[in-house]
Amino acid sequence: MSLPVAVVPEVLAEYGGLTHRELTRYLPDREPRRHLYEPLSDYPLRGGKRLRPSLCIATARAFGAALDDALLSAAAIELFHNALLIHDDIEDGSEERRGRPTMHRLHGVPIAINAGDTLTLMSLRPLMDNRARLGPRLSLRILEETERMARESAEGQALELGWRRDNVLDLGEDDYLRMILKKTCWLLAIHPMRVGASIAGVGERRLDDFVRFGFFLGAAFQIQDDLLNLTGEREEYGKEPWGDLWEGKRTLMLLHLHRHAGPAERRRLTTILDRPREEQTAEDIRWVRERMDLLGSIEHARHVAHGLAGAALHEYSLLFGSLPDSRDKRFVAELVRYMLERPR
Amino acid sequence: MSDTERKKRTDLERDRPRRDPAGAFGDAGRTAFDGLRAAGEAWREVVERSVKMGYRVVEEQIEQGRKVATSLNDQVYGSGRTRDDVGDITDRVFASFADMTSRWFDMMGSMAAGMTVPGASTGGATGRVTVSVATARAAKVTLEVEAGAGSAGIEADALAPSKGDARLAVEVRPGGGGVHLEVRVPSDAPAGTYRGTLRARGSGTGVGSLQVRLGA
Repeated sequence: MSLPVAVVPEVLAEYGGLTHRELTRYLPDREPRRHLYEPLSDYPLRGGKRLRPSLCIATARAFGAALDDALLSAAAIELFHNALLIHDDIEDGSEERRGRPTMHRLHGVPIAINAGDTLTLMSLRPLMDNRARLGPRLSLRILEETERMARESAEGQALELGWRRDNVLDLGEDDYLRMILKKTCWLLAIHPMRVGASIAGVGERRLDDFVRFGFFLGAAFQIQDDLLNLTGEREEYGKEPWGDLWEGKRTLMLLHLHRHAGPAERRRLTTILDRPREEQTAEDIRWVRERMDLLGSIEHARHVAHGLAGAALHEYSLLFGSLPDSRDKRFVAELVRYMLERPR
Repeated sequence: MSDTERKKRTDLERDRPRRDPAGAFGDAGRTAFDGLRAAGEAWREVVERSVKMGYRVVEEQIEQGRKVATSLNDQVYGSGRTRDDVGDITDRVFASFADMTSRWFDMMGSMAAGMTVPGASTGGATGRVTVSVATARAAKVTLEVEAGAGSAGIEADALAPSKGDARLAVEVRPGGGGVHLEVRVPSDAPAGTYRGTLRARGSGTGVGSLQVRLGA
């Protein structure tokens, strides 16, 4: 496959920059700085790809909205995403985020939880400010969408946390897809596009189509993200390599390995994943990783990701096909390929 | 020339392109390629199954979402009300959010040429904050300020749009037991949304914001 054309990095840089400027207006510069507002501002200011807000703005514009109409919602999406990351990192016991130690490693769990809570609430403020620009009806509609996305994300996270706590491994791929639909796809793609489309005046009846497209796009992204964790370079990836194995994350590769391992291997895998992270050994983790290569789990996940990306392109053509050509429309199309080819 | 004398080409070994690339490498290649082709078929099955499974999962989700939306609408709007009746509900929801953090008022002013129209006000008899916007154009004013901030004294930044260098100056003066903010709109100010921060006099701490959405 060829490299994605420049439109993806170009749009991410432009819309990401606009979102950054907008969201920094909502990061308070006041006391208590050290124990709340500085930690709370850390993740949003570390950068990141700004995929979610860019997708919101691009969808709004592709369907005919003014850029300024989508900026507050885009900022809210990015703030909410960063708030969830703080809590996710604690729940997953993650070590690194965007190339630096996670917040709870820097400030301790209590400070990080409180910062995450506060950032979640603060992400509502731009949505309330939407009222002046978009009017009360549409602003409330976006708040309702946000509540739905937050609920779906929490349900997805609960599914995975439960599987890990109870060491559930006997899961089908449909269980996995259901989990990432909620945990990843809503916040990554479905919600930003539904909000963008609503801002542009797309009727509620058509919003279900964004669930389909957003699901396939988000699922391809998540599987690729999990693959990068196992195959990517530390410098490019920005998170702890093989961190998903140390954390016992239920990825497509892990479930494939469990399904295709022999009885003895399966027992060993179950025992390894039953241990808390601090009791894992590098030797065990390396064994799991090597088994994945041997049993074709990595290759299997790659093919699934490509298949889902194909379905995403199909859904894209149904949704965006009839719109006039624009850079925003091209960005959304190219994003599908970008999801599979990105280095991080 | 008679038919019997006509020269004819010998029959071709094949009369269509060779579709089986494995044949190009002889029997050994064919065996190896059969393996690859079998693997390709297997991967195609993986892809097909995943996509079908994906559609099943997402359709379930859409159906589930519809059911939740229907039940929520029944709870929120009640029987006999529809989503079109949301005006008062919307106002109540926003009022609740506003009450949680600060006072929030906004109003639309369609202004006659040259008039100064009160845009918004908040606060009680003391510490009251009022706003007026001097413009001949349609403007919508949103004032958000912490309760009691007016009695402590306020400073206001010039209002700025998200893009461009245009600014709307804000004059702050005492008035009505609190402060009055007067926004001056130059005639050549571009249409758009201008925002600025209100700060406590002395400490400079943010106590609210003022936004003017200016029509063309």
